Amino acid sequence: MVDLHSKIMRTPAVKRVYSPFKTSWDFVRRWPVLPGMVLAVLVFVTIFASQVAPHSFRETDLRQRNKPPIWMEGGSSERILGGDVVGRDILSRLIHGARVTVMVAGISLVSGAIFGTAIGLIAGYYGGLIDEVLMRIVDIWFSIPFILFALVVVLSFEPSLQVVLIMLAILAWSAFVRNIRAEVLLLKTTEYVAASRVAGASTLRIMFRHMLPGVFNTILVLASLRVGQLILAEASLSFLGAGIPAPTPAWGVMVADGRNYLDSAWWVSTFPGIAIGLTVMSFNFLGDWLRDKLDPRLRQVA
Amino acid sequence: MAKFFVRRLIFAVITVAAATFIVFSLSRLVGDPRDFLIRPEGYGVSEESYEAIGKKLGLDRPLVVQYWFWISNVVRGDFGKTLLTERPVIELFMEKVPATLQLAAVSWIIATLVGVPLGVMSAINRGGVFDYLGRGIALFGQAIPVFWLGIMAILIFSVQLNWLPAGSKGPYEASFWEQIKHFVLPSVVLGWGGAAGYLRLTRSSMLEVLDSEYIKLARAKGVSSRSVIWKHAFRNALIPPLTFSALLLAFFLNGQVIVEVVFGWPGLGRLATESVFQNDFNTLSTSVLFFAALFATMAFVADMLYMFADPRIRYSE
Repeated sequence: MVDLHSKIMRTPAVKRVYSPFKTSWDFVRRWPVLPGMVLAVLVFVTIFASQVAPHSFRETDLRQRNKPPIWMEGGSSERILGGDVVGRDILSRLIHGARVTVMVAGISLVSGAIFGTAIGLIAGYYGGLIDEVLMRIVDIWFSIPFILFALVVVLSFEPSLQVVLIMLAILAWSAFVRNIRAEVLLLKTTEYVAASRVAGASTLRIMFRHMLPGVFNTILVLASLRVGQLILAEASLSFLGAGIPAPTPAWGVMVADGRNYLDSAWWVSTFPGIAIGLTVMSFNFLGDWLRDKLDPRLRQVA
Repeated sequence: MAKFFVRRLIFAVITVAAATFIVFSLSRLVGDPRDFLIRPEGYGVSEESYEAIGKKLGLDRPLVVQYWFWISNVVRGDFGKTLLTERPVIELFMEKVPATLQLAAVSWIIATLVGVPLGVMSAINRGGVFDYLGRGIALFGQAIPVFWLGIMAILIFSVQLNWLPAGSKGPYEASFWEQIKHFVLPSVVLGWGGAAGYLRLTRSSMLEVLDSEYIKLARAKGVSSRSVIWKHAFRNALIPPLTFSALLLAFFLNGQVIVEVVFGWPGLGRLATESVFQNDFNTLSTSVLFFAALFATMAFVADMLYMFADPRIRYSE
């Protein structure tokens, strides 16, 4: 009944011609065009940072100290987005900072995803006591205030890139465990898993050849929803002074640098914050879009 | 039911104990707290007094024993003393807890009052003004770093417009109106992210409910649309945001660390951060105990609310 109804309704009397504006607007609405563009720029800048940046990120110049951006009075083309507290070029630091952001988010996300997925697979597949213990560990992990924990860890081992990466990977894994486990519990009841077990497949083979492909969409969606949070966490740690140490230009550190100059040089804090916001927003958009495409059941997760 | 209750409670206790143990051990790794008292390049300190201080702080014992002493003192209500000023930690806490709780409560109220109604409105007229407004708030709330939002709020409303104070809680004797002014920026900045979470959750849960058969039936029977939305749909759509609200309060107390640092708020978050940097392990351990216990309580409350609100959920384990 419903089919017939929609068939009748959908038969157009006249073929409609849409204006080019409407078609392109529809295209923008259907595909993540803007986020895609932002992320493309981010990736490009990450790869070619040294070629694109007009200056070195550590070259100081006291004459350019707190120099306003080019469009303001007193600005010059030497410092397009202005100069920071010691006269470094903010634009160049932003460009090199993109490299840090992409690298940190990428590495910690991938390692967190691998670890979390493995734990989720094991917990879901074996069930029973193993499942119980693993899930309680995840619960415990959730109840530790992350920022404080990360502060303590980073300070115990001297702030460095590796420590921050490990911390963020630790932040990333827990989200994967719960959802992958739930997914595996469902997969366990499918006939093809039962069949492969009857055929004599080993546990490892069932897990990695038969179940892993089944949860792959979920991994992808969770990962894309999680990147933004990782970038924010990295920025927060940097801001609190427990992130990647100087002179590496992390965006969070740049925001913190400008805090004491808000009344005289607002641009020092403002631009890196916009960069963080834009990047995270683009990733979130992409994540939502992927989720709607691949796995709408995860709606409640985000 | 009672069994589930007890089981859940035991896990909560184990969780808190494990969380404090992890941070307690880590804080011992940071370095010898004695280094903060005695600087080698400063005045000379004899070997004996160095050892004596170590003994006094219990540093000569194994880690597990140290933890055991600490936790058994805590159970008896003795939280130890701060490292530098030798004040009882509990006294310091009593000073800071009210400010933190107040800020968290105000932010929580703001987030709820903005997020839930706007989420409902946004689900009802999809594609309308409220939908775009709501989605805009959610979009920014989940993408903009809290510390940057705080700095921008200070830049615009304190530095440029000079409407609101840039930070701190203001003096104790300040008038009620003055104190409100001090609350505005930090609580809005902190509440924004929560409002975003509420919005998305309420919107998707409301959309799901509005799509269900019984709503269609109610509509077909001719029930007025206001009654359908608020009586039939809203009640059932409320379950996810309700459980979220309990966790949100815990998240606020957690995320508050950054807001307190940005706004110079005299609360626990700042105390805890400072104690990390100064390696004041008694204060740090107590802070973590507080945060973890709060989180465990709220998670417990969320579970109970969930069960209470949705009778279909039965915990028969």
